[in-house]
Amino acid sequence: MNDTHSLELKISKFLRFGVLLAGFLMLIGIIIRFKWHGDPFFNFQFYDQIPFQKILEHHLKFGHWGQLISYLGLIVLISLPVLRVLLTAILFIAQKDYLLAFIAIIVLVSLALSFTLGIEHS
Amino acid sequence: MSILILIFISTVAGLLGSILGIGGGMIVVPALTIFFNVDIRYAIAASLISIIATSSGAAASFLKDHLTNLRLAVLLEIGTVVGAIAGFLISGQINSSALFILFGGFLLFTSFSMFRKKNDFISNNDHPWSQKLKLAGEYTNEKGQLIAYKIENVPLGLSIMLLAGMLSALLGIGSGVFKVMAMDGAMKIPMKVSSATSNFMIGVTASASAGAFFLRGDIRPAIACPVSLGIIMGAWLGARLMPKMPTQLIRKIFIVVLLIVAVQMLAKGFKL
Repeated sequence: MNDTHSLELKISKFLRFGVLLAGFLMLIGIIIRFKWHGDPFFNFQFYDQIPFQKILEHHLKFGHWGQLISYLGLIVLISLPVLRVLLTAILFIAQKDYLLAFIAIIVLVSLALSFTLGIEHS
Repeated sequence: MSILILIFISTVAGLLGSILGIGGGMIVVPALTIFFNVDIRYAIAASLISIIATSSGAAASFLKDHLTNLRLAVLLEIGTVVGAIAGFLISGQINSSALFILFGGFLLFTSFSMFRKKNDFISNNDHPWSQKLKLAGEYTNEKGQLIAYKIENVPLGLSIMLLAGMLSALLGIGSGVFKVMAMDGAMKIPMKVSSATSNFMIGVTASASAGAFFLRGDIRPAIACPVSLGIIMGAWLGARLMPKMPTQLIRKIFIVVLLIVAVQMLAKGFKL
């Protein structure tokens, strides 16, 4: 049982670190962009669907580092729970609990599926 | 300037969230839509990101305390993720007013459920699924006693998780209140374990739809980053200050605030 506990602790530390990393990236992103003019939320009053790929191309083209780093922070944050499920699956395999590991993998696959839905719909 | 105000509000949201055990989404989405006039869709997408932040931070401490039932969490996550997928798919078809009304209704429901008294059960009946997957567990209570518990009504719990997942994707919330309801209400799991496991699961639920929203382009850093930063700081502060806080008083104030905000959200939905 102590093996489980120490593995769980490792997952804990990993999550904590991930949140801090994401936060750090987002902070840098905001600071770089700090020269926002006027009301930064002006553009968000009305919903306008622009696929992420287009947004990414735009920022890359103009070298908007602040935005790009912010997006990186967001990506780190979104992937944390996914990685967590993966680590949990590995934990179950280490405990030779194959049924539960299988269930964890189903969750993982469902998560991957849900992400792709965002692309199809753009 | 607005960015700093947003960070501040999000910090308060994170603080309250960790003290009261609620997600910050219930504060963030109304704040963004009512104060900053952000379209509710962007608000919801940004809120989901902050939910992931809170959950991952909280998950870390609950794993340490060994309250989280990891096995149960993984099983129930099937329900929440499928629900989140469904919620995301619906979100494309539903209009803003409906979202406001749904959100207002949810806030009302939450404020009423915060009123009711919580009885803690320990169940001795293990549902067949729980036996097969060995979900039952034990935890250490405040007095340091090791308490074993069993789990009932697993299919019902899973179904409620489907609903929880859907609402999470539709409203940008963690749906913790439904998850706890499923676990301690339907499955008769001790309160502390329910809360810890629910907090642990919330991140995965949010991530399911957050990824889709992200690729659809709905998550805008200008909104999501200040919110996330605020929530991370607030949650950290909340964890430190929690022992010294008058929780019951804060709870009562929060219920009142929730009711006021619920009415405002409903009003926006009905275009009053």
